[in-house]
Amino acid sequence: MRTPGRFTGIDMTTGQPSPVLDVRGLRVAFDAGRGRRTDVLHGVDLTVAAGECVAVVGASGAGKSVLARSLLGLAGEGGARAHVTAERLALAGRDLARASQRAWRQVRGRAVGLVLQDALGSLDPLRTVGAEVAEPLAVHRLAAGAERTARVETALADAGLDRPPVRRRQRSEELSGGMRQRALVASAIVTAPPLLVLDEPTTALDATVAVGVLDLLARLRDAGHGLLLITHDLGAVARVADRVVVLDAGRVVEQGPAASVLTSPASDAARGLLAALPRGPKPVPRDEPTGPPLLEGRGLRRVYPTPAGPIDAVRDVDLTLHAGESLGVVGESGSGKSTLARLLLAAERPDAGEVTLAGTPWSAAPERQRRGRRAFVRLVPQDPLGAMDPRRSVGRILRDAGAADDSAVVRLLASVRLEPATAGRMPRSLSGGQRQRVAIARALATDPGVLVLDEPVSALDVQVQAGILDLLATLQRERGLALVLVSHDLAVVRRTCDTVVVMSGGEIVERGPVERVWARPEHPVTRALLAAAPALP
Amino acid sequence: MRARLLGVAGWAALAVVVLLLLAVAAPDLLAPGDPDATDVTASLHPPGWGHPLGTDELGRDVWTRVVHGARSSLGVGLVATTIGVAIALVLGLAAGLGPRWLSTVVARIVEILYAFPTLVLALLLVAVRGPGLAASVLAVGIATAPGYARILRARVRGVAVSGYVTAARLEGAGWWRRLTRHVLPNTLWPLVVVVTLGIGQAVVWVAGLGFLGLGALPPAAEWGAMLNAGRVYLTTAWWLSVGPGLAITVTAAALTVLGRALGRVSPS
Repeated sequence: MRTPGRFTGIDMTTGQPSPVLDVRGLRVAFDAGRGRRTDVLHGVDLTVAAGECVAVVGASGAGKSVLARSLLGLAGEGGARAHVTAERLALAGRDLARASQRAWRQVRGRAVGLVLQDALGSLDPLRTVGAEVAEPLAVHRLAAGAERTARVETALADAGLDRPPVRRRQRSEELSGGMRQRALVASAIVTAPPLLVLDEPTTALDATVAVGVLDLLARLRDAGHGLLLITHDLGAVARVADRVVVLDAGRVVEQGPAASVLTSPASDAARGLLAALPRGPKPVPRDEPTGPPLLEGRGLRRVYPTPAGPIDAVRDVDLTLHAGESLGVVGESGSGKSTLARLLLAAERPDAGEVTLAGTPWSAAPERQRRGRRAFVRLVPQDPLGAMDPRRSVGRILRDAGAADDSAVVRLLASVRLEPATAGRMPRSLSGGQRQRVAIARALATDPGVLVLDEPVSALDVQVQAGILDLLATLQRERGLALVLVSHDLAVVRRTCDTVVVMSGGEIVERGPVERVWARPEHPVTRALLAAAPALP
Repeated sequence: MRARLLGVAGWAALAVVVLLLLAVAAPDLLAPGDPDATDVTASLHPPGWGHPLGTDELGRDVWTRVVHGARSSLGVGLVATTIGVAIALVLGLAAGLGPRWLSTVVARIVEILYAFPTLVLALLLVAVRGPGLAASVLAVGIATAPGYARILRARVRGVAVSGYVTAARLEGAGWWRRLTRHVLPNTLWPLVVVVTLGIGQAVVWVAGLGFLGLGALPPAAEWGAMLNAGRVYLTTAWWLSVGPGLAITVTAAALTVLGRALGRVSPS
């Protein structure tokens, strides 16, 4: 692995080591219309040395992403005009506090590389991975021809992609999520910039894939890159960060070595983030299930056609859910969890096997007969916004879902801790956490016996996630709901569920009480999932 | 909120459209005279007092004829678009919601219609029915249908598999309820925008056919036919062409601006 070039890391005037990033008094404000401004960052100080990984953590809205963008001169991109001022904003020894757009363009991709969360959206589907990775070299005229190809392949290899000459010719859709993220990292390191800014680089990835990307970041750090990691994932922080900067409402409220911030946080913001992490077993364990099963799947199989031939998304799955039971379904993406959830909901028909509801046919019954009983088995979808008609207000959505009148709507909103006024809002104007609460309220509208939740918290930050998980636990206790919780996060499942099934390649590879599986995993897939869970104190 | 979003241009366009609709509904309010009344003593008067847009070779007031012509020109645009949308609704919804074989058949029909030049279609209809408004309206209607049908088919398909329609199905909503509550509203609103743009286009088309003598026949006050009649006097009496020409331009522009403004305001 190459060490970053050009920038020596030594201050020429003093001979002292100088940081790759040195920010003092960074303020960012956005135009809020009618001449007013909204301050987002109130004087942030930040340094990153070569070979150091600094993590910036904070709740949603703390200003993390604005900070990341400001460090690339992109604060004003996409939306309101930004006013950026700083006493000092030095990148690789060059002060950019008053740099022009032109000067920033020379810096971006060369002195600082950016890796974004959305790997699919950041790669042009019509261009090869090689062309995307080579772009910084082309823009800055750093290498051409065979040399450019060689550097691209080196960068791909450094980013941990196998067979660079093959990958270089592929397009983003031919790569998995983790490989796309690695390709993005490759495009950021191809010019060997002294500083890499990573904005939530692992949030969209499976736990096991994320671990691989984090190991890659650790290697880059050891090779001398300065890393600024923006994240709300404290597990990622624990794995790679040397120092942590805690951001709260646009101010740095705490900073220090990662180990000490994570074990003995001094600020309320850091304590809040740590307390919100899902950890430990379910607070109120349930008695052993008794009585007949509520929802039962026998020999379930579902086949999807693909260009490479039919594949079994779900194969030979037996599953039993008792009244009031909370069942977790974990596995990596593509393991068949979501398909299993859809089979249990009778959203799809199994190609073999049968799902029964309270002992009567469910998957085998005609839709006309199922319609009335759908009130009993409800879905909380992965993407709550997509599941809401954009032309309908929250109140109308709840009425459509089965709320009898306006007072029922208010009661439902109250049960998920939302204000009555939320009924008049349009789904798009709600925050991620509010949308998920509305989705849960909607599922509760018909007083169901079973809730199927498909990754209900994977898109939310830890504090919002903790609120939703608490809500689910309370609802389950109060209403005696049976839950099927599909998640890639074992910690979330452990916190919420009594029993768990682990899926891999469409099959259930391990099942049992959550605490037993947590303490004594038997299958390699379960062990890998556990190993990927954040190793926090 | 929405009022501000429509913008100055949007509101101006809306005002023009309201005026046009008034000219269609009650032309006598804007121009009380008889559009076909001839007055040989006042032939070919340039625009001036009493004749804001001048008079033609038979002494007919151009302003009065333009206002009364709105009914046939704009009305014809509306009727043609209605025909087009009606055909498109049948084709698009059948293709979007029906079985795969039907979708394929409809797609082929739409492609054939697309490939067929409007002018040839108009000539064909004129040959069958004789020249007149009916033939040109039908021709423009049929010619615009495939465009709308394609938009509808794509949109219906997208909405039908969307998360919220799936959610409604899993809530136990039946086929009819999903169609009327979710699929149609979310499909038709984007179409409203396109249709507003399309009416302006249809007006230009019908006027064009009128100019070629394939639409309304003289002495009918129709903008395209008026343009055609004024063509002979273009060097001596320019106002004969400017009046109906402006009317066509302003109508098409107003509908286009309004359509775009609506497009910005509409919740997609």
